[in-house]
Order: sequence, then structure tokens, then C-alpha cells
Amino acid sequence: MRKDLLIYILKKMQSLAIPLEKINIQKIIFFLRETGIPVNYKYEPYLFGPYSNELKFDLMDLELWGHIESIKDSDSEYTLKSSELDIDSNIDEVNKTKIDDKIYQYQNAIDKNYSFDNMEVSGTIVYCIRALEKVGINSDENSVLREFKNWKGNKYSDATIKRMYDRIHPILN
Amino acid sequence: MGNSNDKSIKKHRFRDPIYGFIEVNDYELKIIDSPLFQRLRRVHQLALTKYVYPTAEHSRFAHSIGVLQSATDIFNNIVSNSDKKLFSFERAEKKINQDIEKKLQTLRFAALLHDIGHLPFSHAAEHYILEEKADHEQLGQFIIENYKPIKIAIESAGIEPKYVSMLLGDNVIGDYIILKNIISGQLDADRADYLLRDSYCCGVKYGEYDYDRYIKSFIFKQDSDGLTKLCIEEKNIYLVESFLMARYHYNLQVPYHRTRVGYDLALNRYMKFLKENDKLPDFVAYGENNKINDINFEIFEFFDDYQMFEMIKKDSRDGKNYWANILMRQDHLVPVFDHIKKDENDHLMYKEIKFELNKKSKLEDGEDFFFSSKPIEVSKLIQMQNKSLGLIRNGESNVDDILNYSNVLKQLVKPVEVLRIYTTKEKVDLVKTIILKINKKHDKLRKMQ
Repeated sequence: MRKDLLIYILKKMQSLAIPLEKINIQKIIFFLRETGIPVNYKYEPYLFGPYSNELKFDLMDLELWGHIESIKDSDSEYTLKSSELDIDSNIDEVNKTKIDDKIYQYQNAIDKNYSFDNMEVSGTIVYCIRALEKVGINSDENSVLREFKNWKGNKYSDATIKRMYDRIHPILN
Repeated sequence: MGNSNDKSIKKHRFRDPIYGFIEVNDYELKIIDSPLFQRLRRVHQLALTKYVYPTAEHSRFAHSIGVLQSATDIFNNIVSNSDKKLFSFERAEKKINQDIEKKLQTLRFAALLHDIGHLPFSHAAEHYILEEKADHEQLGQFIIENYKPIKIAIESAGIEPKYVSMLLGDNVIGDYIILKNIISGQLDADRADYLLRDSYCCGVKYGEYDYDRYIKSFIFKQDSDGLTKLCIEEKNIYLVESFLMARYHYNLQVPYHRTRVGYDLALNRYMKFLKENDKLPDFVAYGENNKINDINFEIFEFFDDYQMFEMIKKDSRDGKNYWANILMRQDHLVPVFDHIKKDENDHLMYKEIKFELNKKSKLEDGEDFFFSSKPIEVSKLIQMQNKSLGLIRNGESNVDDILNYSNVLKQLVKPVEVLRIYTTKEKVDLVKTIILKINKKHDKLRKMQ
């Protein structure tokens, strides 16, 4: 079920011209997980934001069995095999609609800017908001800013973090 | 509410073959005495590895208490090696010390309870019982926050259970990321314990390393971006190398031993049979978005290796279940292909064999033959994406990247992929013939290149 969901999400991303860069896949799936899609990958707080080794291995498995392939001269981007695009997904319509809506919201929140930095910031904001909520701390702008800087130091400006918070926070709930 | 530093709180000691003695306080003992924790005595740490190493009979109970010790050792050493201000947002020294004490107790609870939600025969059981909606860590989080004996013990120590359960989950606030890293991240007290414990109990040397030196060698330092990084000094690189080598050999020879994996496949198949016949216990209630709403603790308390084996014994005795017979060690799957991937040609060959077996030989995948491909990662300590283990060179204040200084670590970063195929005894000759034919073809292709 999890792999079926993964393939569907990759299809959706490709159809929306979202590059299947590893960081995009990692952060979008994290966002989907945090907004109720049952992609139950375990994530950890890594250097570039929330990251899942389980997801990495599922992608490697999909590549082994020919569902996706690495783009030539890139070790960080995939493309779906054309044969996959024709297969009807084994996912119910309710989940499909939810996934479509959520990816669309995320796309707009990040202004369709899939740069590495933008994906790192957006993924980290999602993580910080949820981490604060987990222990009952208000995930307001100041709390999230403090959390973010505790993790990332001075890598990003306050203005960058706040701007992304304003875009991401409304679509998380 | 109590304080675990209070001298009126008693300490209790357990003997342990790895650490000598493990000391616990009253609050921790209350947790250990609870029925759900005692259940861990009846869940084997290494599942069916005992069919390879007969003395691998140790339980998750012993391992959980062991992780409490290793987590404490790692934490205490890092605090004494580092600037204490990195461990707390407090500024006054007294408050920093109090905060550190509280964090240590939170860590100890999390270490003790990190496997509380584990199912017997973990991965297969999780797949068929939890159906990818949750995992044992999420069960553990629910237990910590809702199972009264554990919840009350934690609260009595002045700690909120949600902070303990947070350390078992994915979303951790910045103030506690250091603790998360100790439980299951870069430092990984869990692995630090089971490498030694599993090696000792199996009677192998693969997982052995210099524990005492290893736990003393980590420091937290801030780099030029204000990021707190886990570091080691250059003189201690060899400790990290030896830890990761131990893990590499342990992985290949213990949990991913080819015979053990064969039994895992049979177990998986047997679980599928139980699921299809509605014989698996049902103790989790989910709400919206697969959030765990409730666990039936009475059913869960008795769901252990013994209950599973009662079902296996019955199905084996009835003679109708081939997989139960394998799990009673009266039969076995045969490994007919076992390679560590060298290059893409190995993948091509592997896929071609699967195609032949599926399409041309009319054998059934998951019944007559099984493919098991597994990338084995050595450690989160060193990850290309993470780059978070820093190196302090001979008194310099700057933090460098450890991978720049060790060829051993550069190689160990890459996951090792093991490609295996198993079949039933009845189909061995047919499957081996197909594999041999494809192997010869690929050998010829290699020679031509």
C-alpha cells in the first residue's frame, strides 16, 4: 500500500512538472504525511531538513524493479518509466483526491520554486510546527523561528523563515 | 512530584553481562515491574536468529534495560566533554544543571521504553497486524502517554510523558534533538547496546568494539554558522571506523544472515496465512488519518512470542501448513542466489532471473520462490546527506567534515546491497537450472566488455 501510494505521488508530481529530485520527493512526502495521507515513512531531523531512509530505500527498490529510473548524469533525480504512467493506481479515489489537493496546495505555498534551499526551508518549517504541536507548544511565528534557528543556526535569514512560515502554516491544518 | 536526584529515591541494581551492573531508580523500577514491560521478557530480541545461533535467546527486556545504561553513559560523557550551555536554553548555571538532570531522566525513560511497543517477530507482524498504518514506535508513544502504570511512574519523576514519547517519534523539538540523536540517531545507544549484547549472546565477535573508549569520544560544538554539531577529535577517528566496521560485519552475519532471512521469509508467508484466516489479534483502534485512538492493553499484554508459537505449533501438528513446519525447524527454504551487488550487471541479472521464474517457468512468486533484496546501511553516524559528524583537528576551533579524513568511512557510507533468491526444496533443481543459465549468459557478456 505504501509503495502504491509512493508511485501515485511520483506520477502526480511528474504530471505537475515537479522535478523528481530526491529532496522534492522527501519534503513533499513529509508534508503529505503530516497532513493525513497514510504514507507512513519514518523521518528524522537531518542536516537538510526532515529525511526518511525508509523512503530512500523504497525509491531504490522502485528503481531496481524498473518503475523509475535515474536521469542520465544525475544521481539525485528520477523519472517514471513511461509504462508506469499507464497503469491505474491501486489507490482509492478519496486518497487520490486528497493527495492531488495537498500537492497543489504545497506547490502554491512554495511558489513552484523547487530550489534546494526553498525545499529545505519549507520542509524544516513543517517539521518545526509539528514538533511544537506534539508537546503542546503554540506553533506561532516566534516559536517556529526559534525552533528553526535552533536546528539550522544562521543558515537562513529571519525574513526567509518568516515568509515561508506565513505560506506553510495555513495549509498544515 | 518527585525528583530523581532526590537522595530518598532508592537505587536498584541489575546484573548484566555487558555492563556489569545497571542501576535504576524507583520510578524506573515501577516501569520495569509493570505488566507491559514484563511482556518484553517474552519477546525475543533476535526473533528466529536462534535457528542460526542457538544461544540467541535473549529478550527485548534485557536489551531495553541495556539501552538505558548505554544512553546514560553516552549522555554523561558528552555533557562532561562539552559546553553545558549547548544542552539548555537556560542561562543561570544552577538552572542549566537542573535542566540537564531533567533531560537525563527524560532520556533514561525513553531509552527504557524505546521497544515497549514491539510486536513478536517485529517486521512480519507489523506488516500484517498494523498494515502500514502504524509502527511499533507509534504503539510505544501511545503506551507511554496512556498506559497508567507507565504514565504515572513518569509523572512521579516530574517529567511529562509527552516529552518521553516525543523521543520515540519523528517530530522532536530542537531542545531535545540531542537526546533523540542519543536514542536512535547518530549516536544510537540502541545500536551501541545490541551490537555488544547480540554478539555476546550469539557467541560471535562481529559486533564487538571498544565501548568504553567509544562513548567517551563525542563532543558537541558550535560551528561558524551557530549550528551545534556532534564532533570527535581527530585522534579518535579510528573509534568511529571500528564501530562502523563492527556494525557492517554484524549486519551481514547476524540479522541479514542468509539462513535467518530464509526463516523471515517463511514467517512472513505464515503471517499472511494467519491474516487471510483472521487469526491475528486485533488490538489497535485507529481514528482519522490513521492516528492511534486506542490499544486494548489486555490483548496486547499477552501477544508475545509464546502466543505466536502456540499458533505455529498447532498448524504444524495439523500437518496442513508448510510454513508452520519451517518455523518449527522441520523444513527450510533453500538460498539459491546470494550476492553483494558489485555493479549494474548484477541488478540486470537479478531482474532477468525473476522474469524467467515468473513468466517462463510458471512458478509462483511468494510461494515457490522468494526474492529478497536489501540495502544495508552501516550507520546514521556517517551519511552523505547528513554531513553532521564533525572533526576537530588538533586543537583547532573550526569543525571539519570527518569524511575528508578517513578512506574507511568514505567506503562505509555507501549502502551494501545484498541480492538473494530462495526457493522451496521441491523446486531447487528447476530454479538452480534457470539461474545457472542466466549466470552463464551474463558471464559471457562481462568477458566481452
